[in-house]
Formats: sequence, structure tokens, C-alpha cells
Amino acid sequence: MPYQLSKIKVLVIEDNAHMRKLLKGLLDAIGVREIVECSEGAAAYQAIKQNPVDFALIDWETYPVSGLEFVRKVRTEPDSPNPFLPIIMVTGHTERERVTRARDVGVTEFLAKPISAQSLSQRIEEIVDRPRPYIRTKSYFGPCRRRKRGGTYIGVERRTPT
Amino acid sequence: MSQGAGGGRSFQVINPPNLLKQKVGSGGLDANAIKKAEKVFDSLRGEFEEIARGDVAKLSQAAAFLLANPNDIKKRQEVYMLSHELRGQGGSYGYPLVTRFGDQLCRYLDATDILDAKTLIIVKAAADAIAVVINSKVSGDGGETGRQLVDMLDRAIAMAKGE
Repeated sequence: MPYQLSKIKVLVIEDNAHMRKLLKGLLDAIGVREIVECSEGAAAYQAIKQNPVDFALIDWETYPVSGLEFVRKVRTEPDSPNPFLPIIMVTGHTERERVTRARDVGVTEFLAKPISAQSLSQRIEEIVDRPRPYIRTKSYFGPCRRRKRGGTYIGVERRTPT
Repeated sequence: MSQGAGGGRSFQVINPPNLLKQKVGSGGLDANAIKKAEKVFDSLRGEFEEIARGDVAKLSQAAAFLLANPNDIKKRQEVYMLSHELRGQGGSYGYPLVTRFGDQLCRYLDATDILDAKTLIIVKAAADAIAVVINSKVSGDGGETGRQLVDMLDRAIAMAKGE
């Protein structure tokens, strides 16, 4: 049986009204019935404290509080309603430095623009069927950033004593 | 939760319960649901085209404004954001050339600190190319029209870079 997406609630943070409409339309088409919409990070953080969601689709650049800052708050603020919230960042910024920055605050998956129904469904399947373990170090808390390296990490060691 | 050591350093690995999977179950997304989602792009294509036309007009106006006011940071940011939005959305609606031209403009702006006349010619050239794509509904690679537009913008950028 396919996913029962009617059972979940999804947060969308997007300041571009057309893009927000598109994301909402796509979620509705695949069966999500409850969608919480926000145009920026501060309102979204308050919204999920009142109204918990099962995952979030977020834009990076929203004003006054960015999607990136929203991720940081969800992962690290003491009053966060769910530090383990799966968060998919929808972004046209695919430069390596940008992706690394987003990973380092705790983004779970990236959905690169231009998006398609297929690319969105693949990311949803990632967070449902292949969730990343969470890592806590002195300087990081969030989804493991090493999964796609085939288990043998060869980069700079970032894990520090807890 | 487990403890680990990487390079002699400790860390915690936490595997929280998969609440999302508990709610939605297994089996992936329904193929019919994905087909339904693909139709959402069709239903919003007209709205995107209208927005893109407006963005192209704003790009051309911003280029003209910046020619007289080259140090206006806000206007420069506006140019970048307009091109960023166009590159992010064009391909979703069957206009990969809009994404290509928007991306070329973003990359050009990323690589230059000076908004001189040459740069503004690139802004105008990219805006014109995107306008042709949208107004003539040049979908996919655009065939011969697409090749001419790609060549026009590539040559304009190469000239501005002094290549």
C-alpha cells in the first residue's frame, strides 16, 4: 500500500507567494491534507510550537528570519518543539559552500530548484524510508552529514568531545 | 543512543523513533499521486508566465536605473533576486532556457563586483532572452530559436569578460 500522507501535517516556509502556492498544490496532489504555511522563519517557529508538524519544506531566503535560522532554532533552541524534525530545504543555491553551510545547521535533505513532482517525491521517500541518524558533538547537533560517503569518512574530523 | 569516537573524539549517535514512517507506512508515493502532482505545474504555468514577464520588465528597468545609479546596493540585490527566482522556476514549467539564462546572469553577478555598463548590457541581454522564451513559449531546448538565444547570451558574456 502506498504512503498514507493524509495522516501527516507539513510546514511550508516560503516568501514567494507563487512558489508557496506551487508547493502547497504539489503536497495536496500527493495526498497531504494539513499544510501549515508561513512566509518566514520566526512565524514558522511559533507555528510549530502551537501546531506540531511531521516534516518541513523550507526556502533559504525569507525575511526577516531566514529558513536557515529556522533550522538552527529547531535543532538547538531549548524550547524547540521537535529537534528531530525532518527538514527539506528547497533551494536554487546549489553552490558547494552554500550546501555545506545548510548541512552544518542541520538541514536533512535538499530539493534543488527547478523542482519536479518526481524530485519532491524522491526527497519525501528519503526522509520516510532512509532517515539519517542524529549526531551530537560539542559543535553540532543534527542529521548525520556523512551518509552519502559510503560509510568510510575521509574528510576533516569535526566531531569533538561532548 | 550510542557513544562513539572519531579520531579519538567522542560523540553521540541518536536514532530517534521514525514517527513519520509510523504514520505514513511503507510503499512509497502512489504513482497516480505523482501524475496528479505533475498536472499542478500545468495548472500554474500561465501564472508563472505572467510573473516571469513582470520580472523581466523589472530586470530591464533595474538595468536602466543602475546605469545612472551604479552604487545602489538595493537595486543590485533586486537584480540578483529576480534572476535567482527565474532560474529557480523556469525549468519546473517546461522552460529550461529561462533557468539557464537566469543562472548565467546570477553567476555573472556573483563573479563581478563592479556594475559597469558592460555588466548592465548582460542584465539587459539576459532579460531580453528570457522575454523571447516566455513570450514565444520556447519550451525545452527551443530548437533553432533556442540555439540562437543561447549563442547570443554566451557571446555577450564572453565579450563583457573580454574573451
